[in-house]
Amino acid sequence: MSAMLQVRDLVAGYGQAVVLEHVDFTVKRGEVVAVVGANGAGKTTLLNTIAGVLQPFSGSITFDGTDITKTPAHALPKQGLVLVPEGGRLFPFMTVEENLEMGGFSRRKASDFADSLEEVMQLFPILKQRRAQFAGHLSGGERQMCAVARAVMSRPKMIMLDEPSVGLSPKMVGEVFSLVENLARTKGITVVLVEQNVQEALEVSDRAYVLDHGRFVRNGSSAELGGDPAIQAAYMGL
Amino acid sequence: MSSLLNIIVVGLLLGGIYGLVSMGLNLIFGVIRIVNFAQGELVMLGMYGAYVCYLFIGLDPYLSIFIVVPALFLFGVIMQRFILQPLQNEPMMQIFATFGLLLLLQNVVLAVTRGQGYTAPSKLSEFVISVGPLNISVVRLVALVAVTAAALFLSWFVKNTMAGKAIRAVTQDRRAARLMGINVELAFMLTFGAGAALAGLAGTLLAPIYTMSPQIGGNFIMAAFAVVVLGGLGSVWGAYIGGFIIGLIEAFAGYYLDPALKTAIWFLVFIGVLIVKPGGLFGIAGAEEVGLREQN
Repeated sequence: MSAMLQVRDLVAGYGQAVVLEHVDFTVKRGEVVAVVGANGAGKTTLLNTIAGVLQPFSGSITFDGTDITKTPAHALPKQGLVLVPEGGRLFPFMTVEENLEMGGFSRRKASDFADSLEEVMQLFPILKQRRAQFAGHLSGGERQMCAVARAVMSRPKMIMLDEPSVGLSPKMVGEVFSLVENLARTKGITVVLVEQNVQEALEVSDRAYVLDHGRFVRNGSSAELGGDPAIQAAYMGL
Repeated sequence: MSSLLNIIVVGLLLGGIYGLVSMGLNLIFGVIRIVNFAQGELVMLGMYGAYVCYLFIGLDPYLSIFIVVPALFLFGVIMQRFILQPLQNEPMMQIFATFGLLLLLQNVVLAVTRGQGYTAPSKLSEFVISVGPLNISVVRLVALVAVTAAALFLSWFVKNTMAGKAIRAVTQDRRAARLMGINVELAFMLTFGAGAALAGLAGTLLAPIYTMSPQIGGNFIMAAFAVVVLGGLGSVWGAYIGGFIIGLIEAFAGYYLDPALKTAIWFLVFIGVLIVKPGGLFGIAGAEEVGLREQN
């Protein structure tokens, strides 16, 4: 398995403030990788930097063999990399269907759109009933589903999810995570999952990184990390 | 009865003009979330553009649309790219920059024309449609038709084309739009260009009606601000209907009270609407707050 995403010696942050200090991060093709850590550890900064929303101070980011360190955010969906931001950030005054259409913006062709829409509706049956509603009127769980579906519309090679479980009921969290697993297993989409909900994240992922104060302090297989008493004590309240 | 009808017709025709001037301001505000103080000066440039076309190649103002509108589009794109885009993370400075442009454009035109008033006559100016006691000036009617066409086109465009939907997406959440692969900077440039082009259209259509002066933009922009906020920020139909409301208010106030009070009365109605419906008459509830949300 070759690397889908390779982050080398990345330093990033906001203005003068350094949040990520010399971070190395690798995701292999087809993997589900979780990045876990406490609030403020730098998880969102990592995703935003990879997605081109933030420009790194130094280091390099390679996606599917292409250097994307300086690629602007809007050019990445076309290359197959898409970020689902925290809270989903749907377009509230557009319908569910229009939101999905925007997800496919980077691929434009109308025929592609119809196919993708059909496929996505299969994956997310709940959205079929809601397709003509404003996205702002969806429930929290539906909103998260719609945000993931919108990302899938671009037919990505890799999806990055920023805290998809935030604000959802435990039942919805389970549904969202099983959907993520499904995307990876059946569609072959590589997934990077950033979570504070460590237990659930370790259950669906193959490997995990533990981020603490801007540095990776641990990484390994999710099963191994989940069984580690130190991790359990620090992050899972066990 | 006939005077009442006459006032309504005058008000509607005036409303068409105000709506036309407001359309571009509203588009720019709705999408880019900056108040373009120089919008009235873009209208003024459109008027002078029509005059220049008339002076040098003898074009009727209605034909000069095909030159002036693309020229203003280009001017808007350049203005956005080289003046506003470098200030993108400082919304306050962008507003000051548009104010600076207002002064610059006014004074450049003043220096070039030495303040002399011009008109760009059109063959159409001579025509008046008479329906019973009503006299409808054709050039004003054209402005009303144009604003209707512009509103229809814009609302069709943002609902039914991919580019239009992308512009709505940018309006609602810039960062999410970027993550969808939408080039937000390009969207801003084209939107600003389109807003300037609409000002150019307004200018050419007004050229046969008003005598030009470098400060004429100010006459329209006060009305346009009232129209845009009254109708609903960023709402195409809001600007359209808002134009008629302001036009009718002006016509009635001019007839029954005193023409000098027109601005005071616009703004009384305007404040009243803001107290009852802060989003404007046709604004989506809460849309005025989206503008204040962190956008990058």
